[in-house]
Amino acid sequence: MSRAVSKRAKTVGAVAPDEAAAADTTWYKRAIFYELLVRGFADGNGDGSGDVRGLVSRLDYLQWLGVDCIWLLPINRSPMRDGGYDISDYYSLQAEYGTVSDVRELLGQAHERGMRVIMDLVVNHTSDQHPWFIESRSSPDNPKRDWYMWADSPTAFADARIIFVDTETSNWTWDEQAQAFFWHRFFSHQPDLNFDNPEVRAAMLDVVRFWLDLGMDGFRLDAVPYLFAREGTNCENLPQTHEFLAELRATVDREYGGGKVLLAEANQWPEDVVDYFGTDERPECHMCFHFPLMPRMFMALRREQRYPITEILERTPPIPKQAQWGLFLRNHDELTLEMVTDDERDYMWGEYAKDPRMKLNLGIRRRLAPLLNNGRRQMELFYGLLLSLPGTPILYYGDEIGMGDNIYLGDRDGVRTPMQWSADRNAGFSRADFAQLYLPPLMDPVYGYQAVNVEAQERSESSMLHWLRRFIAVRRRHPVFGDGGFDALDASNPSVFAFLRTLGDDVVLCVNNLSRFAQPVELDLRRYDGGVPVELVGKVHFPRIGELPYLLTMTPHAFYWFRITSGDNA
Amino acid sequence: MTTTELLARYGFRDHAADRLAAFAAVQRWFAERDAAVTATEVDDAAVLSEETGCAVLFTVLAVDYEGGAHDRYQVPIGVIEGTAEDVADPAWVIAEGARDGSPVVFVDALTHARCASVLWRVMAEERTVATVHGELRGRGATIHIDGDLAQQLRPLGREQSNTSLVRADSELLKCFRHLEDGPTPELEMTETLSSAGFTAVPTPLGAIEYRREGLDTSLAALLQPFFHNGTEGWAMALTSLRDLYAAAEDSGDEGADAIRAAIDSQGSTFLPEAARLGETTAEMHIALSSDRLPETMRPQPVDQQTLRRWAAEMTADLDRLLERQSAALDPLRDIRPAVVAGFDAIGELREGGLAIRVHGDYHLGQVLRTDAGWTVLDFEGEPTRNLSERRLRSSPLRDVAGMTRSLDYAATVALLERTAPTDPDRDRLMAYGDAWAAANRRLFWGAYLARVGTAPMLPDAAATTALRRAFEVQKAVYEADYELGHRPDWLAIPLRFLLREVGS
Repeated sequence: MSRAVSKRAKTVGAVAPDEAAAADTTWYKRAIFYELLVRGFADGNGDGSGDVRGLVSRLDYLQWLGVDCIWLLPINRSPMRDGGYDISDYYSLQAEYGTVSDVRELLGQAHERGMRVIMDLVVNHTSDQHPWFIESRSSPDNPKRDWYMWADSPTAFADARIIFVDTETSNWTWDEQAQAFFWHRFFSHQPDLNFDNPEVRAAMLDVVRFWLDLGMDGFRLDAVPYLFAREGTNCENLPQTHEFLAELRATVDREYGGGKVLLAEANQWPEDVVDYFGTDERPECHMCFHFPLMPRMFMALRREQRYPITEILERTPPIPKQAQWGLFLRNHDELTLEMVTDDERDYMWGEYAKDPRMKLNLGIRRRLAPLLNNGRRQMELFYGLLLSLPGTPILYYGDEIGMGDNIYLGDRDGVRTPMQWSADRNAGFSRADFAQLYLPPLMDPVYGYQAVNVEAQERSESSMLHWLRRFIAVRRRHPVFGDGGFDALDASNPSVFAFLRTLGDDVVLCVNNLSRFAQPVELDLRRYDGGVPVELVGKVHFPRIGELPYLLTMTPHAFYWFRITSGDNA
Repeated sequence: MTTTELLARYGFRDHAADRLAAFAAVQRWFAERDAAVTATEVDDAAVLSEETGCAVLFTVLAVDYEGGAHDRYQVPIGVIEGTAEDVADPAWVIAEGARDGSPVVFVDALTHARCASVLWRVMAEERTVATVHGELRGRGATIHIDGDLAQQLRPLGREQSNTSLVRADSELLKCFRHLEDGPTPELEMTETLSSAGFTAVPTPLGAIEYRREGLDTSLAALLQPFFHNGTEGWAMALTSLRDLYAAAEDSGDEGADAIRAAIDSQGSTFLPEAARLGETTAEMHIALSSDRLPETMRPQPVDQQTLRRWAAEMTADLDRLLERQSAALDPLRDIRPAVVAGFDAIGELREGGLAIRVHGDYHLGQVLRTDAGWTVLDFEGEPTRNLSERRLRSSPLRDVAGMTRSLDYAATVALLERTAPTDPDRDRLMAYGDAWAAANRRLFWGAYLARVGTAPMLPDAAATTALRRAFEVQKAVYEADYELGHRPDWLAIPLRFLLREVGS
């Protein structure tokens, strides 16, 4: 939006998005987020790994697509034993990604284009290579000893579950050098920081200040439920954790004004997650992911009925006015199944992961397109839901063109292959030698970069990319999608999921057919008697609403968005 | 004052009983009887609202039949200024008249939101209204009325025996057209179940009771929560079956293994729903088998005498069916001894668990899937039976049989929907449908048994199996009787079951 205003700020660095936008402290409620892996997005220096300079060169593409906010997966220095979620230096970048001054350049360039940038911040733990831990393990007398959680026996906090059940057998690991056990909720190379220590809390606030000072627009906070541990609890969602988050938020608000965003990763049931929003008086995070919704969408599609979705929405408590859910179809991790019941998990496994390689940590590592058997209608329906359900949509890089995955790459790399920019060498991602690439691009006949790439889809108006860009634009034109209320509508046909989004007089009706068959639906719209539904994309006027049930015919997996107008200006 | 005088005061002077009877006769809720009508009269009346331009009268239409049968109907009348031309739908008009020299039109008050809203006031204000021969009494102190009531009301739509109104998508008022003496099972059962802690029923929010001198109290209207985002179990089952049949049509496979695989990996599966339904059903029966229920609802042990009586009733039902002239029944006639032997077997059991108040007309159309799981609706019992029969205690297995038969029906109906009798693929597809019904019955029953656990309502396992089977067969006999008269094309559904289950 400010691109025309000025080009001069190009290298100045910490430029805020233009003033009007800066004053808008709830921008994240109406924004489109785009999650990307710097390593996998674009290689600016030809070393085979993506970097910040490469990303800067692709900002025009993201702006064209309609992205408001870029979420960078971890960029901090790391031994990379957990995709960068094992940070060894909070103040520098992973070497192949570039430098802090490259990030300053990225922020300036993004802000000039009216886009914001947030980054992943891992507060719960560090890498065992972090100097803090190296000091801490060195001696019981070291001043940093108490920055981590040490014990003589691995018996404390026995009620805490083990999250990475495939690789870890305990939350305690013996350290030869320290001659003690250290506490870790994730991998045994990721010691948990001791948040009971005020020095640790202060150090973490300093990290936050450093990046915000640089111009960063906020953080996606990793693994927030686990900051504190207390005996006799499951060591999740403890009050002390919420206290720290409220302190963090207050610090950010006080020192940086409104306009920054904290997005919490708390993979819990909605009734527990809402606590991470805090209250109107004592807010914590601006946004939290709605984890259970996403697997429920897949289940609803398979079951061809709306209840898997409506149940979880019904179970989702109201949230503070400024708060917003973060919605996603897929992300860098897995189709998270921690939040479904055992029955449903078995069912999801049976349906979506016929290959045991896909079962990892109670999850399924696949991209959207292969999960939906590359069905264009199904993908459109899913994006239709993502863009119209209450929350902010978060896209995962590559899913906008229907990229595939490579399940043989192991761990989570299967969904982290290079972005497919063109049919050129290395998918247009890098000018390095093929063998030098951090991961090979997809080359199979269906999802390979020869078939699926940005350049080809930019040229074809009927491509997935153009289709999605059109619907993103529609969503961005209608604040009701971000700010409006949500009401499920009764429909006697269980395959049809219809709901209203309302914001004052602005009423949008969304109707989704979850079935692979054509379906009729009769909706009771008498409260809008005399109104005319206008389809949001083509602006086609549908028959006026009357006393009788409103009949719609839905083609397989169709969805429609209507604005209900008075019809006077028809 | 007489009813005639009361009606006349509002301008309804001419042939009121005839007009009401003519109006009632074309309504869905008017019971058809074989006998001829011998007399109609306005048996009782009251003024519910004096509001100018929209007075509301309560009337009871009595209908006598040749042979002594007698029905009473509730017809609330709205008195509106104007003529029949002013009414949106001519079907709502009962008669025209004149009041204080101006024309008025009498309409069915339940079709007219402004008139119907008075019923909410009668309940919320717990009003007692004197009628010519008795009184109406409203209950419902917790009903909260705000804003313009009439704006919040809408009719529910297509219905058979009652007329219902929905208020603001949160309350449902069921008006009972056919007035019957004595406690209405719907109110009795939903009140009992909700106070026993079973929440999957519409808990009563309010009611209007009518008492006529010399008669038992009858229920005129019942206010219940309206379930948002609900779908009937029947629609859910058919959705699942359409998916299965379509997959079967695509695959062309046959054979038990292919069918089993298709059921196990079905996308639009009903299995988890069937299991949850079994659990909900068991919870309902556990609540109804409590010793702490009111005396008339408390469980009773099923002794051998009761079992013999049930067996005799089952045989009598069968023989009544077989008396009917239809060649289609011949195969059933051939296996009569085997069917009767099954009935007789339950007469030989030493005990039959508990007899409790049951739903009585339990099938997929009576359960509603909501975001909170299954909800059980409509405790009125089988409509063809009289009130005292519907309130009899019986085995909970009677409800179980109703639901398992309903699953069977769903599988067949979904197939009839998509194939012609001459379709060469029909038999192959039916095998899928049978497997679907069997799998869902198994899950329903398994979850039911697991939830019942050690609760004493069922007899030992062998007796439970025999009883359950006998009730299923009895239900199928009832279905055959009904289909023969109403939908001869569907007669094959219960017959197939009987020949398969008993004939083999």
